[in-house]
Amino acid sequence: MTTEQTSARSDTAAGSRSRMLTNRILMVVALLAIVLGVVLGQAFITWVNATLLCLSCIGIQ
Amino acid sequence: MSRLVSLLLNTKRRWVQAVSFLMMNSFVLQALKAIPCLGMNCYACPGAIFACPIGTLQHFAAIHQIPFYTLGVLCLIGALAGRLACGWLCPFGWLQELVYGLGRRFRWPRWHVSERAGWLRYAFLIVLVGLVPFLTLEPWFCKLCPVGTVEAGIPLLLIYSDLRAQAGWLFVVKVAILSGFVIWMMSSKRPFCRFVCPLGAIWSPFNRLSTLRLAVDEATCTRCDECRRVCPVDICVYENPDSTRCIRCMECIRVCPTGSIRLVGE
Repeated sequence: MTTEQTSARSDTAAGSRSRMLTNRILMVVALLAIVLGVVLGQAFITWVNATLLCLSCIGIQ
Repeated sequence: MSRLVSLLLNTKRRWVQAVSFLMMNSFVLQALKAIPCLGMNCYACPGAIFACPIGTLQHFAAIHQIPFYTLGVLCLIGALAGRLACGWLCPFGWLQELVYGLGRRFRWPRWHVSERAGWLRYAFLIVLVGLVPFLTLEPWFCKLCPVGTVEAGIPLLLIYSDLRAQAGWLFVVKVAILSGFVIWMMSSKRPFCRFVCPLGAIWSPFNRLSTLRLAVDEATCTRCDECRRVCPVDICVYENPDSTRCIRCMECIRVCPTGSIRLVGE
């Protein structure tokens, strides 16, 4: 294996590790956001908003 | 992860889409409306059991709150699977594929739109879902959304006769928009997903970072373009397996004659 091929593989592996790390961070942040949202009562607000009859679908509020 | 991949590859996607549509509109367990829907499904639909995430985002924009909960759910799904829900669960995506199939059957002329216009879905997200509701306190994307017209507006007017008098000029505009999309759907693959859908715009950037991704073995790929032929969003998979347009339907994996495309999980 040449030096260039080794370097390319290292870059690919490094890129993969970077992507995995970003992915894990995103998932943790998403979970924290969900918890924060539930604590702030946003799940309830979502339920109320979705349950009330919304007439935007026929063009009025 | 390999079991999930195997399950997805061995499951008929059209059946999953059909079951998803029925379940999302099964009129049971209204308590589930606290959960954002994993697809475009209007919560005003008489049978809807989940909350449309785009309608919810507009509501939070109108009440001037950051929607941590809804964004957290969407980001979690995106980080796990990218736009997989678009390809397997979204009722409107399923409808577009059915209508395109009708267009092919009746030899409807094809209409190619440059993929450069794909940035429009980000514009719809930022302007119509974020900025306009923030300023006007009204969900203007909902007022124009063709998904709401077909899933909620038309069924509600059919069921409740006293609502019909309240439908005014804006409903005529919505029906015209829906009609335009239906004609477009017969000519192009999933036009709403590729150029308009704000939910797809949220999930698109996650395709490059999600746990589940597509990978192409360039050594065995012959660039026969079979993947593009079956792709519901018209992608050359071998050029960009992590395309922001990819809806992870896996039709390309099924059809690849050399087995060069695979789904990987990290």
